[in-house]
Amino acid sequence: MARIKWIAWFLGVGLIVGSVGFADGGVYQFSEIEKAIEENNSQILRQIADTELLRLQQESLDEQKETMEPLRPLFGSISSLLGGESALQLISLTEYLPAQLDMGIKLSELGEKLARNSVVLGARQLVIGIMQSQQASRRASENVENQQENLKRILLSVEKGLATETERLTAQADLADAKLTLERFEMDRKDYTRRLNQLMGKPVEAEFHFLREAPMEASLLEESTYLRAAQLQRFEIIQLQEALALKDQEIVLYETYGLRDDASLRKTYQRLEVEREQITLQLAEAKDEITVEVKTAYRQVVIANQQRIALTANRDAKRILLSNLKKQRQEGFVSDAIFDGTENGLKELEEGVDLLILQYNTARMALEFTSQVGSGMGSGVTP
Amino acid sequence: MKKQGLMILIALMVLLGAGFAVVNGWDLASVQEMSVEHDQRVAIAKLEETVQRLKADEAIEDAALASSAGNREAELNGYDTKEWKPIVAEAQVKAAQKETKIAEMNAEVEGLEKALDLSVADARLQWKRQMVTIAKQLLEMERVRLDAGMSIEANLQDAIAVLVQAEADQITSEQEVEIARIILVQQIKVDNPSIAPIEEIEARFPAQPELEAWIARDPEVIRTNAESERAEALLIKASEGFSMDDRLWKEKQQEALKAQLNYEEAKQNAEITIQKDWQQAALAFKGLETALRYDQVAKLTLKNTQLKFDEGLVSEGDLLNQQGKRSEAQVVLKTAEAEYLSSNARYQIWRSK
Repeated sequence: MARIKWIAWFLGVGLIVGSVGFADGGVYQFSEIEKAIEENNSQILRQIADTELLRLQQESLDEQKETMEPLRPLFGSISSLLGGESALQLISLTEYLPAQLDMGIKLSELGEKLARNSVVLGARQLVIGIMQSQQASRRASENVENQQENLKRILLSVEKGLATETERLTAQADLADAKLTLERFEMDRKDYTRRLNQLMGKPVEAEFHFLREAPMEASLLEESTYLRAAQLQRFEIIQLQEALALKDQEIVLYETYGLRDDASLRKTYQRLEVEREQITLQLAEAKDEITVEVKTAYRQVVIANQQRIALTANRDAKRILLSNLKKQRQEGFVSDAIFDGTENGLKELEEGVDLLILQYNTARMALEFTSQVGSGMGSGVTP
Repeated sequence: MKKQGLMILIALMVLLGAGFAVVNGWDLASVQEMSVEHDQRVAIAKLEETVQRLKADEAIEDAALASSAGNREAELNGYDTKEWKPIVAEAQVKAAQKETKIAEMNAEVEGLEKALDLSVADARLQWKRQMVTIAKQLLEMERVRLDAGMSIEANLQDAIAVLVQAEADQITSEQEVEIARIILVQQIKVDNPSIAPIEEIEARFPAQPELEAWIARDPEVIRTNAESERAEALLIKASEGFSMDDRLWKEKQQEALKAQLNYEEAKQNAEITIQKDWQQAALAFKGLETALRYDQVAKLTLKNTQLKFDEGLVSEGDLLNQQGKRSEAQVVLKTAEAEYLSSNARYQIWRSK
């Protein structure tokens, strides 16, 4: 079926924008992934469409409200004229539904932010997965080469009668096993890549390349700063506070227009009061849960930072050792094997540091999302 | 020469894409049948199919009575009820039928997996029992050597520690067999399931997926595709008499965007899962092939050790250790067989949808 121009344009532009900067090999910053997610992620786009639909409903309601305006002076006695339930429907149209839609729009907008945060955090986890599987693949691929060499050597020995049939079979099995391990890491890498591409709105098979970033420089703030902000700004808290305000508004309607005493609405009024109590309890519980989340996220940042600092120090020491070994090798004091071994060790440490930086930044980001505090605020402390 | 021939045959079969028979199969067909029969999710899926059929009938009746008279919104609703809701409802029925089939196939696979888990746990228990026997024999030998002044107390203590560990492993394995049995009983509702080795199972390298065709058969893709086509048609209809501040058109535009995004996401989800299932099945086949190789090595090594023992070149302890290693290789092989059968069965669900 023919596609509508605007859909094609919207998705087409999204896909093209998402592909720019990812087509070739090289090292990329996470901000580029974030940009692609912002423009093309379907979860975010759906949430934006939901907000838009609510806005359109609000416009319709505004029109209906205008037609109801002349009846407003009658609202005080409308209950006795129409009966409780019909009166409630009419009063809700002007007094309650608009507030409900306002809250829906506000929450939907917050939902966009929430979707963005959760998709971005998910993407970072996938990037870490890609990096880990890339490193594991490289080691597994070196093992395959070693096993190939080993098999060659054994085959030569078998020809000369210096190795047994069992040794040959073992070497073949070890090679098959090494290849299998490599394929398993490659499978993981491909799966992470496909899922990351999906989050970025790209074709799932598009290749993704190695990524490196600098550690977040802004100092970590006092824990209490994050806790305070979370209690004020977290989506769940705002959602429950809004629900409480709406419930209060609904209860006030019953009181203002005498609906509370209407026989057909008495039970409904009682239910509203119980619901108000429920929301109050939910709000207290949400605050407790959020406190635990923030405290956990804060400690994860501290742990990630300590690990990053320790491995970076280890790497720096190995860098110095390697540069000394280089001089000693030139003077013939150190064998190539020792130098190569140290060089490989350093390579693994460099990759390890890259990964820990990514994990540290991810933990920082998780703390920011959990507490709703951006970087660079308040007085800094270093964990 | 005979062993070399076998390895060459395996290699050739793999290269030619042919399968090889896995010995020690189980009576899996009846387990799968019982599993489907007692699976609650299959029953729920069948009920859902009925619900969707009834809804589709209602949609068809509503379509026959629908009127397009009235203002633009009423006209659009009439068009939707007449032209599109029956189509979407039929797609829901088709998707529900697929879901039932998938639930049945999943139940089959779960029955198979749980039967295989029991079988592997049982094989592991046999191996652990053998290890206890071997540890007892080694301990007895060590005692004799110590009495004859040929060993030291520390070696005896080592042998005791090995036996204690082997006995602990045996108890763990016995518990694992019990757990696997309880899980299988729960799945097939048979008090004393007997999984006798009665058949041979042929393992084949799984064929490449037919991506586009399989994606199109996914229930979520069927559903979201119909929804997306409907939303697009309603948008076209709403654009008749379109004006810039047209709220109705804007609503349909947002709904069409959401439906299109859902459809694209469903297709991508199916593609990612198919690729992963295919790779897992392919790797499980290779894992089986590797386990067979290691089993061949263990078999050959045991044979050599036996010959050396007969000639008095190695001790009885060496022979016993080699027997333990051969049993371990067989357990690894059995585990690889189970993994292959399970992952291949899950992958084949895509083909059969």
